[in-house]
Amino acid sequence: MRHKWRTVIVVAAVATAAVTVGIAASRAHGSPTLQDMSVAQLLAKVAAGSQTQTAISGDVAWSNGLVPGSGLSSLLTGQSSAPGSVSDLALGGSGRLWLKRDSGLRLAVQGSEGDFVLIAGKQGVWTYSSTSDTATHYSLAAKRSASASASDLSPQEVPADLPATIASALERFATIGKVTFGPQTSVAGQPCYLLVLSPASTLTSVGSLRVAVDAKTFVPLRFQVYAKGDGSAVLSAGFTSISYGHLDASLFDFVPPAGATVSEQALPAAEDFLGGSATDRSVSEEPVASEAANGKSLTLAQAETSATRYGLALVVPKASPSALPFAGATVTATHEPVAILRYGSGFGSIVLIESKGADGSLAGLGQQLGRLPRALLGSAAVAGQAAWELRTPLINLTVWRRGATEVVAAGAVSQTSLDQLLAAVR
Amino acid sequence: MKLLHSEIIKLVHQKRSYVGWGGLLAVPLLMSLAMYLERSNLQGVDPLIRFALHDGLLVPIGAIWLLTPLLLPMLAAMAGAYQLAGEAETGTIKTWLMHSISRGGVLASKWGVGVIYLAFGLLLVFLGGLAGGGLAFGLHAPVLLSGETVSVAYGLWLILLAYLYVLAGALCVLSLALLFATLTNSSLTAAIAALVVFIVMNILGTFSYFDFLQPYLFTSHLGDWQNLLGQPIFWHPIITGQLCFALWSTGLMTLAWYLFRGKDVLV
Repeated sequence: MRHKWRTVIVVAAVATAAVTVGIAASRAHGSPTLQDMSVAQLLAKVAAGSQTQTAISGDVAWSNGLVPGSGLSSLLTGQSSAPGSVSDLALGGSGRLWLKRDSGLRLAVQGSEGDFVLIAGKQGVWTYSSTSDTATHYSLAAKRSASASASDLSPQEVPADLPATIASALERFATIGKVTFGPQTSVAGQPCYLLVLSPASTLTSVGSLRVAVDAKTFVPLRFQVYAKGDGSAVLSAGFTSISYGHLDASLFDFVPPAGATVSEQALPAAEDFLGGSATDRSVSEEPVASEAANGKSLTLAQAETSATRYGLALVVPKASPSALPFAGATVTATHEPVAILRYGSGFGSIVLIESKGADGSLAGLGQQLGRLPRALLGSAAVAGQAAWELRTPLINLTVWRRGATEVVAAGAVSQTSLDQLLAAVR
Repeated sequence: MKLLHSEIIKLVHQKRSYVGWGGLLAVPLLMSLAMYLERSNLQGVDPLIRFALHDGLLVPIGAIWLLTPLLLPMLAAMAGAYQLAGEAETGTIKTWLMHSISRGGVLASKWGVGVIYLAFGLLLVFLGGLAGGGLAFGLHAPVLLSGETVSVAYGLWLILLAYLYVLAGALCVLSLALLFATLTNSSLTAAIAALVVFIVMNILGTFSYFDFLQPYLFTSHLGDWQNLLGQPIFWHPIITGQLCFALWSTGLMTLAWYLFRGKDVLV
């Protein structure tokens, strides 16, 4: 009997040693040295690669460390974090992605309680949850969809002098951030260049943005956002396995199954929010609004005048801190009067988003934040008004109301910087 | 082959074989009946069960969803444990091995008959599911977890693949039980030992601290057959799972053969 157990132990030890040696050998397998090139050359190859790699698919994983804990949705609802909606996806997960130029994108996520599928194709965006047997069709506003299908999905020519153009753009971008190479890395088993964007602002809480680019195909395989002083990525999304090859266009079509609950939702076009066509606006004849609509930034006085026309009394700092000078404003009124005031520059910017807080998209944000678990929130006072603070490693946000105006102050800056601006609010 | 043939003869003449098969056949039939009677009250159930309420073709899928976490592994453990340890209990193994036959051949035939036992059991689950589901809900083009509706023929093909996947997973437990059966002369001890290892592996798989072990535990891959029910099919986890099952079954049976070769059957 003793001999038998000794044999078992010897066999187990040999097997363990073999596995250990195998793993060590596979890890020790040297990565190839990547070709030397400049950041601009690499970005040009990424642009060219997007034209040559027409179809990719693979396993993907993404994480969201903005809110600590097992998941915001479970904290909010007390239910399992099985994917059931687009908003659940924002909290992190894993799945499989198919992407084909000119056809669309398909993402499938498996959960313990069913699958969730998102298909963005020429029919618009479909989501389907087998957990609830519901399908939702998101269609772009009619005025936008025609141009989107024609231009967004069609291949575009890569200019021959692209590296020089990118190099010039990077020089101009240097006031906002610097792009450098990080150490060579491996993503989804592929040797990758690591591009690191380091913000220039000293106020920002963003440490760096890192993009891993496949050294053979020049397809970006992973995106990560690090907070200052944090050794692990706060936000991360990337492939864990990748394959390049033919994908059938029918992958990006979807017909909801019989018996499923189907709902339709219209996606607002970008111009509904900011910088759209002046003719879409009810106040297009107003010169100030037209300026904003044409993408020109308003002065503070212009913004206050414009907002007053819409019955919106702006809440502004008396004198912003020297590190956060007023940088421009936008006022829109397509759905509801909304003013956006910008302070500071680059990654160290803070925006004040002000609305009348009636039935608009921003309305009730304070109340919604109030439903969040207390651990995620702080309470504060801004100009004598009670306020909610949402603190994350990257973004800090404060919401308060003065009279009929609801104000959201947000930025990828430290809470101290945000507090300095809010202390000046009159 | 002669050894396997004689094992099959034994299998079909043992009452307990029919008890196990009868139990497996009862699962989809009872499931269909219960679902039919409770069809208006089944809220918030797993999608596989909910889809089966509209399509009897998916009842066999619902049945293996119910069986794979515990009942099927339990049956596989008992099937594997009895093949050797059960015969040691009754003393027939001594008679076997005193003849000039290869011990490797004996072990292979025991494993082979275990595979046949489980495969036939799963076939009964499949047929019972189709019969019960068809009577209760009719057979229609099935809806997959990804929302696509596919043809009946393609649906049946996917179900067949799912059953083969589940069978391969169950063979790991069968092999584990056979390994323990070479170490003990008690079939109950061997079956319980196999189930304990199965449960420990499942527990290891539930703690994130042991995540690094997940790819190597066969229990982590048992539910991956559900990847077959999405379009396009996620082949990677299915192939990985099959590879893991093959490695475990091969490793366990190699170890079992090594131990059985030196086993003193006269003790």
